[in-house]
Amino acid sequence: MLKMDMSRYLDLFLAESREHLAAAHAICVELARHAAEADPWPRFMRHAHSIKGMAASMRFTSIVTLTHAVEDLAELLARAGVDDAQRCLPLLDESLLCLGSMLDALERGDEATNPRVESLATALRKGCESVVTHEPTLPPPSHRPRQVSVEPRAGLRRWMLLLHLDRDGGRSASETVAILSEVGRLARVVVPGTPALDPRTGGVLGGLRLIVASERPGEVLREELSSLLGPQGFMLEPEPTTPGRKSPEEDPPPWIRIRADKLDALVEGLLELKHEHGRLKAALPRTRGAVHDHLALAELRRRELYGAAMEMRLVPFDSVAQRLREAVRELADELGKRVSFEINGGELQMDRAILDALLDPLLHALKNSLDHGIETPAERRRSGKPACASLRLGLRREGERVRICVVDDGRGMRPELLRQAAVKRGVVPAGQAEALSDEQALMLTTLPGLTTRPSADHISGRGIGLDVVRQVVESLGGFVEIRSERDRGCTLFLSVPLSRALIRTLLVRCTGQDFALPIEAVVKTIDVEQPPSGLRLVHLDRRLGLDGPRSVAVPRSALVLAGSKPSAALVVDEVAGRQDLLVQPLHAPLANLRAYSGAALGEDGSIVLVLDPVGVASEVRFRRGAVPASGESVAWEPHR
Amino acid sequence: MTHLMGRPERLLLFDIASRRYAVREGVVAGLVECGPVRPVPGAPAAVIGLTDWRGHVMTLIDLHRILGGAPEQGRPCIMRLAAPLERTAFRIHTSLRLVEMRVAPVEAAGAERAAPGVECRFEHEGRLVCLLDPQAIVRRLSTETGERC
Repeated sequence: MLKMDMSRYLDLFLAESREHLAAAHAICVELARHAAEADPWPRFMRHAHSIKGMAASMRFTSIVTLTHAVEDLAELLARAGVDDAQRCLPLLDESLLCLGSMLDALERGDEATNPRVESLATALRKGCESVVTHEPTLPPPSHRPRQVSVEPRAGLRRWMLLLHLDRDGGRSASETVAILSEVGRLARVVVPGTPALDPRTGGVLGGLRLIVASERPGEVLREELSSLLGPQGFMLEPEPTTPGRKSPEEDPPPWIRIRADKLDALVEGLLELKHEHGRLKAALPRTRGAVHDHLALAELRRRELYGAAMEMRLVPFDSVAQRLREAVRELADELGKRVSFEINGGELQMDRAILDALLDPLLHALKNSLDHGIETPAERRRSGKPACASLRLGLRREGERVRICVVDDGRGMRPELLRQAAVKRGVVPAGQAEALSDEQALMLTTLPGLTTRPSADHISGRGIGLDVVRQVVESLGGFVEIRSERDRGCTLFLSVPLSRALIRTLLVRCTGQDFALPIEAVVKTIDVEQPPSGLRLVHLDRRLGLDGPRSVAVPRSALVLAGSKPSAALVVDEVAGRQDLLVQPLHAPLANLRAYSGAALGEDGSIVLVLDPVGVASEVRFRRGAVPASGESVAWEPHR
Repeated sequence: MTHLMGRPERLLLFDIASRRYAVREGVVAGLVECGPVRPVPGAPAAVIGLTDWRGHVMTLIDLHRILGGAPEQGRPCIMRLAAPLERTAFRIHTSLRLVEMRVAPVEAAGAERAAPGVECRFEHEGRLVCLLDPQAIVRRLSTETGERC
């Protein structure tokens, strides 16, 4: 009976414990960098205490034992000097990793035990004895005043925005939709108002009151609204406060915890609604009228709901940091290598679905660095490097994308050996291999079957690590870059969207077929007959083998593609317009087609193939999918 | 192949080009209506294209083009496959029959051996039936896609 009751709460326990563990770990990282706020220990203890309390109620005694010892040490460190804290950090870090491994065990359905618990608890107790405290008369934790931490979003201010939509004879619903879309770009709509429609004309009656939030100063917001609506077209005032009622920042609303799959189902449902909306719109007569206006408003509401649902799925990267640290530590131990692993930018928020999908590729990338790039301590000493290698994972937001880099200071890769291996493996003909730039040659490592090992072991050696990285990243609408310097190290860059949100595309037409190209991949349009020197023209019809009737006799324009090396321009029949699309990856057996990054449902419900600018412009047709069936791989050694 | 012995299994039977085939009921997530199909330039011939199922883009594979050249006529039946191939569907132009039976594999001879994506063969109602492995079929097509790029 008890077991059954516990299992009902296990998922909740795991989710909450992981959050507390990640937060405690983040504090350790801040302390190690000397970047922690003045007194981080009360926060740390609260996280440890929360885990202990929950574990006690679930009767996970090993977790209770370890968190109790962690708490004791943290309590003493709160009153100790910086040196003591720095000395004890590795021990706390190891204890948190051990707690993480016990949570993993529970998730797998195993017991929450770990052979290291007892030794760690003993070491933590010894750590307590060695700490010199400065406040010996501090009352027990329960008697200390409770510290309340309120962390409002910096500079975010709420406003009441009144839109005068009945001016100048009133606005049509479609005009209102356009206005609301623009307002949505200037400020986040917190409380949307619904405009009342005239049933006869479809026009909007009266005004519309919204609550918006923005980090922009009031005068800037007013100026921007004025240029959009005219000075008399709106009124902007700070959100009125009810006496005695605190703002959401001062008195945050209570949290509720929902299962991720329920949220995913909500997002999926909203997407289905989008496609139904597109079909409905396509089925209606093209004449403008009230029905179209109602449809436009319904779509606006759906977009707002979709945005809100997507925002709910955002989680900090730090929520997976613990697993990555543990994996690095365990693998480094197993390989007999010494590594200092650091994560920068872990506070960045990402779509949970993207983060989940990235976890495996990141583990592959780190494993690749540890196993292939980073040398043993003896080898490093012989090369004049410190015995302890550096492995860093950095995250940076770039617009709507996140750029992740995995940097090691190992031996690096040698492009000339990669070319030789690719020729030997039959992936690239000899003539083409020689023409590959060093950057292109490094990308050969992302093809299946190429390995740096004479034989495979349980860690790696089958040459499928970076292939997985590239496949997953591309399926998310991202791309991979590799840089390497011999004996100095290697950097793997991954660029992925922050969320599986709509991306802006250009629709291009060629031989009667429509394709989409991400707008950010297009630098400019040029005249085909006068291309700038050094620019390579890629004819889409030839590249894809299209032979349908053309909409123009001779293509006149080409789209210069960003990031193509050497520079390339895509020749198409015509540019048919723009569309915001939600790109879905192509699955097997089409995942290997390099010309596409995915497919999407267009506004009219039809399927649009989304071109991969890098793949479609690629000069070299790598022969992919060439993994030997038996798992054997061509042995070659790029590093020696 | 020990899992094939003994226990009765639920199988979907269908005929293509005078041969009888089967798939396990568990590998099929459902039979669905097929919307318009968007051909994919560069895809293997057996891949008809992409189709929309409740907002999800699915890859549609014509089993006739793999197992034998049957004419594409009549109302097609679309089998949406179960995970891990939940974004893939098979199209056939014949009717399906659900049976529950014990599968006892038999050795095939000659050309029968080389049939693509066939996990094993067994006898049912006096006829030889090929049990298809959808994952093997998709793997094979993936390799073919890799050759094209």
